[in-house]
Amino acid sequence: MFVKFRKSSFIQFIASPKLTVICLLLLIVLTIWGTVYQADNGLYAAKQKFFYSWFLFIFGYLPFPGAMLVFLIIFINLISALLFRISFRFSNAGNLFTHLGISIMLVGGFFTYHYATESVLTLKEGEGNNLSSAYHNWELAVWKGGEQVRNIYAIDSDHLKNGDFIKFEELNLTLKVKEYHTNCNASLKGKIPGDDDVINASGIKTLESKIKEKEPSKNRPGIVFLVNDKKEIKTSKILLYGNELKPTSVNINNIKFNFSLQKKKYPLPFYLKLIDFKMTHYPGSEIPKSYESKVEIKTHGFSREVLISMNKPMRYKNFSIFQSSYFIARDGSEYSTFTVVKNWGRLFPYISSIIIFLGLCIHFIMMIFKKKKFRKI
Amino acid sequence: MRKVKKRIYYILFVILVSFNLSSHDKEFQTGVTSLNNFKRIVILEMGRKKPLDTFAQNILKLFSGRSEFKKKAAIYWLARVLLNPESTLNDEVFLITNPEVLNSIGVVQTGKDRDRYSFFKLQEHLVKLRSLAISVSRIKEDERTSVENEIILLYNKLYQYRQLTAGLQFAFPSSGFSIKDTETRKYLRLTEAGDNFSFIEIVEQKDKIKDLLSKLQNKKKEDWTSVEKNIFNLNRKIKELSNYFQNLPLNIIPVVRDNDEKWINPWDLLFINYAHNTPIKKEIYLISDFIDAYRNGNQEKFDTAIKSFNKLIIEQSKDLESNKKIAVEILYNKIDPFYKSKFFYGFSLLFLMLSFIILKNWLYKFSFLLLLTGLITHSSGIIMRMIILGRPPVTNLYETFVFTAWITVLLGIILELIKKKNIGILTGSISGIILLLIAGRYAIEGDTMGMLVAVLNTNFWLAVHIITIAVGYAGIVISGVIGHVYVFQIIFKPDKKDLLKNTYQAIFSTQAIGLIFVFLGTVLGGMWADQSWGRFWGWDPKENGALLIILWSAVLFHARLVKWIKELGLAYGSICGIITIVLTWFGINLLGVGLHSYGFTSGLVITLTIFVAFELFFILGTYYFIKLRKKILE
Repeated sequence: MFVKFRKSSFIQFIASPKLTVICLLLLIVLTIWGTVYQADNGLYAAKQKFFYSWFLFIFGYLPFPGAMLVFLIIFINLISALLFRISFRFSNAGNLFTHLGISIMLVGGFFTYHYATESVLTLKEGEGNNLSSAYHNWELAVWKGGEQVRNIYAIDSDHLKNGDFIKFEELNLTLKVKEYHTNCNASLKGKIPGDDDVINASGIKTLESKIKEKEPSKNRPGIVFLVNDKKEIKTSKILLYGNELKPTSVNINNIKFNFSLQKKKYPLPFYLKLIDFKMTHYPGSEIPKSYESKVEIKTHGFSREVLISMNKPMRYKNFSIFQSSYFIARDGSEYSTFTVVKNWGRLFPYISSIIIFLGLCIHFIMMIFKKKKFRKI
Repeated sequence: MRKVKKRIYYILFVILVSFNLSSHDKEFQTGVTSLNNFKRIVILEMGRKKPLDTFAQNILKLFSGRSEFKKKAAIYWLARVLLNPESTLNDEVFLITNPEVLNSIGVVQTGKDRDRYSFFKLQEHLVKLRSLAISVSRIKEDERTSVENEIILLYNKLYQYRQLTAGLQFAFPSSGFSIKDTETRKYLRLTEAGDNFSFIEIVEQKDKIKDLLSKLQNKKKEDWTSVEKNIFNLNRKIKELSNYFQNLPLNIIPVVRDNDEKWINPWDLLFINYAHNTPIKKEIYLISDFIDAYRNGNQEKFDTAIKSFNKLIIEQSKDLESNKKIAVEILYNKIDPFYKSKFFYGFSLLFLMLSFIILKNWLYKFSFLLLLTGLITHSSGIIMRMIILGRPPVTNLYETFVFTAWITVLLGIILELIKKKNIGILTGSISGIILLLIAGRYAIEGDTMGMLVAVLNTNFWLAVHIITIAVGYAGIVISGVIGHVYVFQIIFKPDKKDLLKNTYQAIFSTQAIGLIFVFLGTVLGGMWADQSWGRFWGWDPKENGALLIILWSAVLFHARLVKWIKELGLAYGSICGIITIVLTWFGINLLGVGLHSYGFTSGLVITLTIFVAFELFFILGTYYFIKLRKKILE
């Protein structure tokens, strides 16, 4: 039965190295194309179009497999080759190892793509935080005014459309989206007389959509939504613009609510405080030699100091914190920016690479020996 | 923008205050012929202490694209620039590669399209060049054309040249410090015959100047005597000068303060002496001494002064390690190992070719010996660089070529020892020469021993990642070169089955070595990225380039497995492997900057296109020929 299954033309096809060659060639095309595309459209767009997609469309209608699809086929191809094609003999050890390693690498890639999050945390010297922000995802945050402990409720705002309803059940609030712009300009002047009734803390009256930026972190969204009083007597029209300095406050049902459109926040399992940021230059030049931040990490009432520098990140469980940037404000205060990566699959590439490398070495060394034997005969 | 503007005023100012720019047509003759001590003077530049010898080479390469001037080492030219600047005004050192640059600033083109011009010829057009440079500096960097880039480049070269000519001017009598009034001269106890004095002489009289100035504070301006007016103006001039002469490039004197060693240029030292009323340091007098000796042609005095100067500097600098490195660097410059190994490889190839015709055994052995000598010279160069810089052998683009060349030759020698079929010598020497020639092109861009920016400043990852990648590249390159050999063998010796099989195996095994190491190197790069940015892979152009090589190599092995390609196919595939490598190595660097950005880069696009076209033509042409011949024979 198994032999029959194994010999079936379907299995023969999906386990065949011919399929591998075709997939690898497709991947070559995608890699070249995606790399050239980057020069004009930026890394983010190239990744979305070529490497994180199942299909892409040439001239808008001709479908071409995206890297995701090709990787999936390669994965199936690899697994079937391991199961049905490559025989489990000692002489095939290197071969088996290599292909096993590549499968593990693809699995790791899958997990990283789906479950890893990357965020940024910028701290001023002497200040700390336990929230990091997303690079380019935004959220609509609401919290009640006047409370001692601030409980913030937030929803992702990137996919909002006109006419959507947003419900905050704990707060007993329902918002109706009037406008949502992924990237827009704000204006202090109303275009038509009716615009004047919007509520905004910074005095913004209207939003005007503009083309999305190449670098998505440069987009600045805006939203206009309606909130009804419970008795539906009064409707408030609220306008929010990305990263405003102040939240917009509105009284609804006699409770004061604060609204803000901000970069999506991620809670960290620790509190990080920047003690000191240091940058050194090579003597007599402007070439930076090193950046390092001395931080204090507080968890469960326990705190300790850590030095984070270029190439020396701090690890905490499945979080890694990297030194990524800095700036010095006009008043001389120093800020350090960290990249915070949460990825429980980060060991996959390490393990798989070692297996692949060993596999390749065993395979080619054995081939050389085989040839020697062959020659002697 | 502001920088450019400041520089322009600076240049004009220097022209005004410094020596008369009369054209000296006659060649300057000095009795000083040996600069052995002079080239050992230590200078701190771009974060690294280096001998003046290296500094001279870099600067001359930058100006003229050559490391020699009038068949003499760069240091001879630099000595004249620093010690006798007037004599270098007519030196044709400023390379202009595009005649449009000349047209734009109004210089009449006299020579070839790509030619060198003297400062004297260009200086009349400085004003025009100034306004052009200002307008170009307003254009975004990646939107500039090659002509616009060269305008800025030329402006910077002239600026640097003027900085250098002014570098040691404090020791010469100059029209900037001319005191015509005898009373003033008498007051300052300056009793030399001429009107012009050196800055040192003025600083020596700082007490007298300060004395007089303090008295002036309580005196109305109308009541000032002519001496007082002159001294007041002199003081003002010094203040202005200290603004313009800040940060001149010659940081040759270490000053230790609070355990912190700082290297500064003599002008700044004198300005400090003047401002804070401190005594002039001995180093300054020694500089003045050797300048005098140079100008008077006294070799002995010249050497004694420099020796004492160097000794004093070494005593003051705490960093003993770097003093040893200076000696190594002098040796490195003297041997010029990569230049020499190119010749060894070239002759090795030549004698190998000759051995096919006559004296087969002897010439073969000689050729192998030459290749080995080349490798030893090459290795010595790499080792010396590692000692000088204190880091792994590959840290910049230039070094990737030097190191990959070294690996290809090493692989060639190993191959030759195993197979003994000429193929190792042939491929090793060819790839050695070509890669070193390419490296030479990159050396023109300035110091090849630059410091590393923070993210690269880690010896461990640099060592493991880049070296493995370089070994991988070398494997793929060698495999491709052997691929060419295989095609030729098929054409010229189609019946020698053994020979062909041998060559085929060589392609296969070097390709395999290439794949293993490029894979390992790429993965290590991923680990490095994971360590420093928290991501293993990001689809960045460099990463994609490495991935392409791996994918292509994997395609070859799998296609061979399913018999879609045979021996010849693998040979052609390995040649395409070289194309992939070349595109990754150079092409990726072009992507980011746009195709029309830099003179050299745009030339590179043409070269790359020609190379790829040539290889494709080679593949198609030979394939067609082989098929046709087979058909006819059948």
